[in-house]
Amino acid sequence: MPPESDKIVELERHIETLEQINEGLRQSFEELSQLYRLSETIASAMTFSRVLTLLLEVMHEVVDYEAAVLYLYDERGAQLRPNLEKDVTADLKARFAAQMEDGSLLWALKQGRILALADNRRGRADDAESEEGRSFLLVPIQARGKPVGLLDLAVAAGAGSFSQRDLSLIGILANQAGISLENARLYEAIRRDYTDVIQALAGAVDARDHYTRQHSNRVSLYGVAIARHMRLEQSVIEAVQFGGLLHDIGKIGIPDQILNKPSRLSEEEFQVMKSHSALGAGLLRQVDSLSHLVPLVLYHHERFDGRGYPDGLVGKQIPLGARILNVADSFETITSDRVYHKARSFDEGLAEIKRCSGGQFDPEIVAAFDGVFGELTRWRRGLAELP
Amino acid sequence: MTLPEAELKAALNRFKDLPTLPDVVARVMQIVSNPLTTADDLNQVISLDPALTFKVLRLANSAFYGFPKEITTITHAVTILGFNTIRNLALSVSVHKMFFSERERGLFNYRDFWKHCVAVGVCARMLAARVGYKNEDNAFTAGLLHDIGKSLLDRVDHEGLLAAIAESRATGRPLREAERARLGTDHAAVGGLLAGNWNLPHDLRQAIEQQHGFPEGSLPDPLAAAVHAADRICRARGLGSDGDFGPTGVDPAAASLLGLHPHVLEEMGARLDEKLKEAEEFLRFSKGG
Repeated sequence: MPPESDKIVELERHIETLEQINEGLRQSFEELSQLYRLSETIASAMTFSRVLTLLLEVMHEVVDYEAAVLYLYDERGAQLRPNLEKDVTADLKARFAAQMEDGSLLWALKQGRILALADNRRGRADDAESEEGRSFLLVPIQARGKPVGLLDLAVAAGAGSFSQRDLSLIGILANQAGISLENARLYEAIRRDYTDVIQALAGAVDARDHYTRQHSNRVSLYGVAIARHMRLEQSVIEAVQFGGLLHDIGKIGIPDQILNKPSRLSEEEFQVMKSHSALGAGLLRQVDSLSHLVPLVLYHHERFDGRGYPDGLVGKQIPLGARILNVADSFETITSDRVYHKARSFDEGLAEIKRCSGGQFDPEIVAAFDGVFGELTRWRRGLAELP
Repeated sequence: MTLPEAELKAALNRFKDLPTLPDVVARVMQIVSNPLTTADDLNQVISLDPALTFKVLRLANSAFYGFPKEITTITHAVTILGFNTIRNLALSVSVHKMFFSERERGLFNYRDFWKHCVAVGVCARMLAARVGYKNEDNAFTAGLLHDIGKSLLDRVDHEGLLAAIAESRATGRPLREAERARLGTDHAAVGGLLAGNWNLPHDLRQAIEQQHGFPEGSLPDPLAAAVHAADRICRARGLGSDGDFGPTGVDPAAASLLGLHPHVLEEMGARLDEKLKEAEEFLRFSKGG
């Protein structure tokens, strides 16, 4: 063979190799993109249960499973408990249960590695010979090396038919879910703490004056009802909820003899009392996660007609949340016993609010309040049962 | 400490005709490195060798792995214990057959030597698990194979190795230094060469090469640190015998990476004996199994 054709043959071989490499790279790239997209999907979930649901959905894009059971690990009892199921038939249920009984599930969890168990249809799940048919993939879910749960997938393929790449893709997604579950758990715990601390602060104000017990709670509930009725954004509704709870927090700094004075306040005393909104705003300003509530607390005594305090803002100059709280606060005060007046009925309260529409109150808010009034009356019964 | 590169190369020329891995195991190494390999693929290759299949299955079913049910086929073993573990088992079985078969000559007792290797494997695996190393089984295999260089030295220059061992025993000089003085190379370097020749994974090769120390100024690799510390711990505890009578202290960088405080070492000692019992199936290798 002449050397020229030798070279051509060699060149052709090189081209072939390059094409193979190129194809491999293309596939790897597609997989990486898919993996990235699916990981992002799981990571976007903010709540524990949402992560679990998304994991089942996302897994379907990687393995075409027939049925799935998702277990969560109970650390105290060192046990796996079923949490979610998908397409589990009565026949499959027994097979899933058998893996729990024979210790396979806990073993897989302890190893932290995916196990594939063959399922021969005679009911024994330990015969790996059945190349066809069905198998179970036991996918441990971990976060920071600790077991969180396990995903058990029934797949219509032999246990030996999964490639290392298939298994590692599944494993990566399970780990991503593990991290997201851990995050969701932490987030939910922080969220609970946040709400608890706000409740405790609100309680501290109400505790100073037995007449206003539950006042902050009710203002918050009424405010949220109005905000919901107005179809405001969730973040605004939440600000009204927490702003309602904390609107009087500044009263912590008002002397007892003024706060609990059984008779009418003197002009001087009233000036001190009026400082509670600025005092409260000052307190919240110091806490990063509460500072967005400052405008609501500072301006909850502003009036639509400009005759309120501390700054005498007029109309829409007053932040929306503060306008809502003003209506809620006034209605709650009218309908509760106070040092200087007896509680009036809900209907009387509504009439009073409506009478001051356009004066003290923003007519838009009054209209919304009117809209939820029926609902509030039903709440009233629930509230009355509170201790 | 390190020998001049040229001198080492010259010495290594004596090992030109390195023993090769059996075809089956070479093929196993190759296909496991391909991510598209399935358990069925691996089964097809290993099943070609019934003796290997038998031994791998016996080990897979041993208390060391502790799977609650019987593992009956290679496919099954792969899907339960993982591709890495089965590759490692196939490799260990073959290496044992090549190097650690029943022989007893002079100072080198192969049964005790193999016991040392198993103990280092078990200990390295425990150390790796302690620091959350991602593949504990690789640590076991690295420990099991860390002294293959000694077997090779023995094969090429039996008298030279025995003399080096005798010197180490008489003087307390590290065996590695005695080997260098007499053979011009040492078991760690030769072991690394063999590992390279067999295309063993990079970290495994590195662990064999760095069993007595790490390159100046670099953080030790966790696997190499685990093998190094395990080797020293097992020697200090008199588990088996490897012909080295040098100091048994653990390198400070490795000790710090592995969190080896004195109380940890003591605590590990007790658990090591327990784990060694679980690994008995590996020890039985040397009884002709």
